[in-house]
Amino acid sequence: MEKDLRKTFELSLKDLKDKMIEMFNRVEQVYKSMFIALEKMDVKLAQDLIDHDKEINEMEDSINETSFLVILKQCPVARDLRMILTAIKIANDLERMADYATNCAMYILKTNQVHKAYNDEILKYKEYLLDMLVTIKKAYDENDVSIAFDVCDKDDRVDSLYRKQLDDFVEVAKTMTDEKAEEASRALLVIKQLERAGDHMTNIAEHIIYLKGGKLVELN
Amino acid sequence: MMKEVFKIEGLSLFYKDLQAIKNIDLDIYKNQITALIGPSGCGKSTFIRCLNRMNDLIPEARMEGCIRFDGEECQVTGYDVIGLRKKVGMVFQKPNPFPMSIFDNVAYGPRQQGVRNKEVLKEIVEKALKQAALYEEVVDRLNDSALTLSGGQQQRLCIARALAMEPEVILMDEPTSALDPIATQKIETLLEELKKEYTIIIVTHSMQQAARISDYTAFFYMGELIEYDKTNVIFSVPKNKQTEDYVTGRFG
Repeated sequence: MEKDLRKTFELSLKDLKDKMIEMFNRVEQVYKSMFIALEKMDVKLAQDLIDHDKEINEMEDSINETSFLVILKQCPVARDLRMILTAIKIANDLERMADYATNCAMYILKTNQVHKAYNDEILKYKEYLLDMLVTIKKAYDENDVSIAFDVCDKDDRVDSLYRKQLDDFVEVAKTMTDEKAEEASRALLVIKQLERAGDHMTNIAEHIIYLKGGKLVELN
Repeated sequence: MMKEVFKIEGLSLFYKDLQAIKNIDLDIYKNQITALIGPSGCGKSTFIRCLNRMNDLIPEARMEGCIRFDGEECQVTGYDVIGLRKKVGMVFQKPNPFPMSIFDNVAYGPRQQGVRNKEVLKEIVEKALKQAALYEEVVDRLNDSALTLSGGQQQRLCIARALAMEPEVILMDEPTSALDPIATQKIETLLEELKKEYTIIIVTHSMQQAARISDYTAFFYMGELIEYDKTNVIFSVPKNKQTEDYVTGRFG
């Protein structure tokens, strides 16, 4: 292989990958902050997350634009084309994940210090999701299919946690007062968002597997 | 199951001591467009010239292996070479109309074959020009010199000239590399149409062209056939790393 044969092209692909890693890092940071805000019921930090969400949307726009231009100018095929298509799709998953974190931040604003009975349940996702975020970024960065499969396994923990919590909520809800029920419903919406965040990381894992081998897979 | 027009086994070709083609096995399927890609000097053109025995004309060229055309070994002594070239037409990189009228260019082959009847010739010429999507543009000037046509028109004239012989296969050696994008587009559209009736083998240096128009793609490198598969596979998930490096523009 002659190293510099498609120098501009290689640089564009590197630029795209750098933008992807930057977005992974940013979303990871958002989840870390969101869980801290939840633990401390830190309204200021939650508001800060909401205010800065549009920057993540802009990151996705920038990835889409770079991808568009590389396709336009370089007519990529095979692994290059897969790299670009997966970048577009993964950026979309990451953007959705950031939206979920923003929704959780809104929950923090709406729930005052007195009504945080469910925070312990919500915080059970912290370890699982942060672990998955680190792992999925590593799988993407190193283009490693086996790590991508690990992420899918890790998502099983999130799914079973959610199912158990949902069953419990449904059971307890039968005997709840209206006020309690409202509080429980809000918390339920939040854990649903966090469960969805796990699903998006499974999607990303599928994209990484496709990127490597060109095969579309359906996990979980 | 698709029918093979050409069945090639263990094909090698030497120019004196230089081996230009190395032990190639390849089947060419009927009514499909097969693209041959690979860097210059990889043996693509030499390969298609084996198929209608054009290499016979090069004294120092020596061939080994077996080529079956419609089931019959076609490189053996005594095989009807003229008949083969009639059935396996060829279009070259640079349009090469004869310095004669548009009509006479297309009528040249049939006349050589002994067709004398003017009405029959007229029919053949008209049909071939229509098939080559050139008729409408030249219908009023059939007696003008072919050299007055544009490059793209000249190339379609050469395709018409090949079609007038009612071949089974058309070999094309970079037929659009000397043409502008519009003329190229016309030829590509034409090929899609022609493959309903003919089998087309095209050598091209344009990856995008191979990806756009062909059903099968063969990647040649240094005289070897590195990979041969459906075009969608070659341009999405090639099995061989050399193929992937070539189609993605990493070497060549």
